[in-house]
Amino acid sequence: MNVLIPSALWATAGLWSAGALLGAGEWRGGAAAPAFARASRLLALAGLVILAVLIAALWTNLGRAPLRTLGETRLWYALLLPAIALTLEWHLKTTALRLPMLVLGLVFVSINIARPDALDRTLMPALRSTWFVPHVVVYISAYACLGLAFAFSSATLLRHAVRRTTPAPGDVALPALLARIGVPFLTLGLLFGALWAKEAWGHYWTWDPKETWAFLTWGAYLGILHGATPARLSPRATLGLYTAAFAVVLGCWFLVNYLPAAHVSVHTYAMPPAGSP
Amino acid sequence: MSLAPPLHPAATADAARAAAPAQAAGFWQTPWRMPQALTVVVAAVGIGMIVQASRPAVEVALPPPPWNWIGVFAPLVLLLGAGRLWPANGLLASLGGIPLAIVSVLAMALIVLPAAIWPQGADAPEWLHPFGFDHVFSSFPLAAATALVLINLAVSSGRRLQSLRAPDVRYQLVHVGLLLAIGSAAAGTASLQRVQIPLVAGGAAAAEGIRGGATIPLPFDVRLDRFDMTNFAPTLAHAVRPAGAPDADYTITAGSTLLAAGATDTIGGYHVRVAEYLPRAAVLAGKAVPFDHPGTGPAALVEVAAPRGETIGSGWLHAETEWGGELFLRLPDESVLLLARPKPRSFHSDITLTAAGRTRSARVGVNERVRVAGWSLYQLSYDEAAGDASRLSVLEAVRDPAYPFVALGAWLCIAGCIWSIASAAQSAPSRLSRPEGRP
Repeated sequence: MNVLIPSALWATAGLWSAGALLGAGEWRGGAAAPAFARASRLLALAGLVILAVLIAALWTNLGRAPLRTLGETRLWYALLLPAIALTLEWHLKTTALRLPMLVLGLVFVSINIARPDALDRTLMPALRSTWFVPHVVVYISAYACLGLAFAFSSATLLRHAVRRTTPAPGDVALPALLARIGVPFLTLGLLFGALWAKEAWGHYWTWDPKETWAFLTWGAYLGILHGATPARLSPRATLGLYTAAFAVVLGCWFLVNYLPAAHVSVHTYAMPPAGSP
Repeated sequence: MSLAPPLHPAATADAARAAAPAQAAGFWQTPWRMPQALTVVVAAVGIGMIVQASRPAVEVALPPPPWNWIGVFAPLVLLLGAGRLWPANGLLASLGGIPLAIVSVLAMALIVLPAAIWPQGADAPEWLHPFGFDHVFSSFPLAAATALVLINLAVSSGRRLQSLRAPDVRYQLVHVGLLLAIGSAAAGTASLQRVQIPLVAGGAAAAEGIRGGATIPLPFDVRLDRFDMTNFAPTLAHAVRPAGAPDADYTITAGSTLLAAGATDTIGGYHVRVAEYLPRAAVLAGKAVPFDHPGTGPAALVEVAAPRGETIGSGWLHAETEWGGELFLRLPDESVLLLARPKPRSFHSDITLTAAGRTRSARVGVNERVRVAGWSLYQLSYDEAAGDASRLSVLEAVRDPAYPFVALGAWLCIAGCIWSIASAAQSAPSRLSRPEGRP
C-alpha cells in the first residue's frame, strides 16, 4: 500500500492535469474542440476508475471502511466529484462541469499527495456501526455537489469578469440543480447522524462544534436554496453566493479541527494527537 | 427557455406569495418581504437578548410534562390548522413565507456561530458571557429564533395541505417531518431523564443512578457480571517531537503493526527489525520482562538502522501501563521510535437485569444499547487506566419519551429528501441551453 497509494494519486493527478488542459482547449472552441472533449472525458473517467480501485484496495487492506481520517475523506471526495459531474454531463448533455470538476479534484488529490496519511487499521468502537458508512458517504456526496456548484460558479464569475460580460440567467441553472441535490444530501447526513448518535450515546444532538458547523452549513445552503430565485437575486449575486458558501463547507470539514472549540469535540478527525497514535 | 425547473420550491412559493392578496399598507404590507421578515426576527431575537442580558446565567427551560408538550405543540397545531383553513390570509402567508424562513434560519446560524468557534460553559471566553453567548444553546435569543422557525414550518406546511400532488406531498414529508422532529426534541428536553450507573464486576446490583450528585431511583436492577474489552494489535510507531517540547509531546508520523520476532519494516525512513516480542510484559530496571497479567501491555526489542544501512542502536519499546513506564528509542534526528498503546477495538458489559420481577442477561456496548422498563442503557465509559483489566463499567440510563416522535419526524424527512433528490435528477432538463461561451 505504501507504493500503491502514491502511485495511484500521482497517476490520477497526471491524468486530470492533462484532462484539465484538454478541457481548457475545448472551452476555447475551434475545430479540435470535440476531440479535446472526448479525450478530457476519458481522462476524467480514468482517474475516477483509479480512485475507485484505490479505495477498494484500501478498504480490503485496512479491514474497515476508509472513511475515518481527513485524508480518507478527501479520497472519497475526489472520487465522488467526477462520479457526480460525469453523471450530470451524460444526463444534461453538457460539458460545463468537467473543467471545474477536474481542477477541484486535482486540488484534493494534490493535498493527499502532499500530506499522506499514516495507514492505521484501527477503528474506534464509536465508529463501529452500520450508520458509519451511510452517514459519511452521504455527507461527502453533499460536499461534492456543493463543491461542484462552487467550482462552476467561481469559474463562471471569473470568465465573465475577464470578458467584462454579465452572467445570464442560464448560468445559475447548474449550481441550482446541484444545490437541489446537495441540500437534501446534507439533510440526510444530519438526520443519519442524529439517529446514529441516539442509538450510540442516547443524544440525537449535543451541539458539538462539528454538529454546530454542520448546522451552519445546512442553514447557509438552505437560505440559498430557498432565497436565490430570479425574482430576488441577479445571476451574479446567486453565483457569488454559491461561491462564498463553500467556505462554510470547508469550515465544517477542515477548519473545525483547528478552532479553540475543537478540544471539546468528539467529532474531530483522526489526526494523530500528540503522544498517541 | 427558462432554465429554472418548474417545481422549484422557492419558485412555487414565489407564485403562492404572488397569489396571496396584498393586505395592509405601508411597510407592513403582507405578505412580508425580506425587510419585514428581518424586522420581525431582529425584534424577536432582540427581546430574547434583553431578557438574557437581565439574567445572564438563566437558561431556557420548558415546564414539566404535560405542559412541555402542550406549550410546544398546541400553538404549532393551531398555526398549521390556520394555514390550512386560510392559506390566502396575509399574516399567515407572511408567517409561512420564504423570507421569514430564510431570515429565521440564518438568525439561528448567526447566534450559534460563536459556539462553533469558542468553547461554551466554564471554558467560554469572558466576552461571550453577555446575552448568554456562553451558553447559547439554552439561551433566550436562540429560543426566539427557533420558535420563529417552528412557526414558519407549521404555517407553511398548513398552507400546502391543499392538494395531494406529488410536489406537495414531498414538501409535507420534509417540512412536517422537520417540524415533528425539532418540535419533539425541543419539547422532550423537559421530560428527558439521564443518569449514570457505575458498576463493579461481580459487585452488588444497582437500583439507582447518579445525576448531578443526586441519586435517582430506577425501576430496574442492574448487575455487572463481566466487563470485556478487545484491543487492536499494537503499533510500532515513528514520532517527531518539536524542539524543546517535553518527551510526552510528540506526533506519530508512521506506524506498523508487524510485530513478531524477526519482523522487519521501514518506518519513518528507518529500517526496524523486531528482535524479540512480548505480547504481555512488565518493565523492570528499564527492561521488559514477560508478565502475563491483566493490565499489562506488549513490549518489543528492536534493532534500528539508518536509511543507508548503518546501525543506530537497539532497545526495548513499551507503552506505559500500571506494570511499567514507557520505553522508547531516541533517534539521531530527535525523532523517536515507540510502541503505541493498543487502541480499544470494542468494549462491552455483560449485565443481569431485573425488572418487574423478571430477570434476564444482556450485553451493553458502544452502539449496542439495551432497553429495559422504558429506559435505554448505553455503555458510557470504563477504567481507561486499567485498560482490559478494568472491573469498572459506567453505564448511562436514558429515558426519552420524545424519541419515537423525533424518530418518526426524522424518517418522514429522510423519505422526503430521498424523493427530492430523485425528483431533482428527473426534472432536470435533458439538455441545458448554451449560455454565452459555454461548450
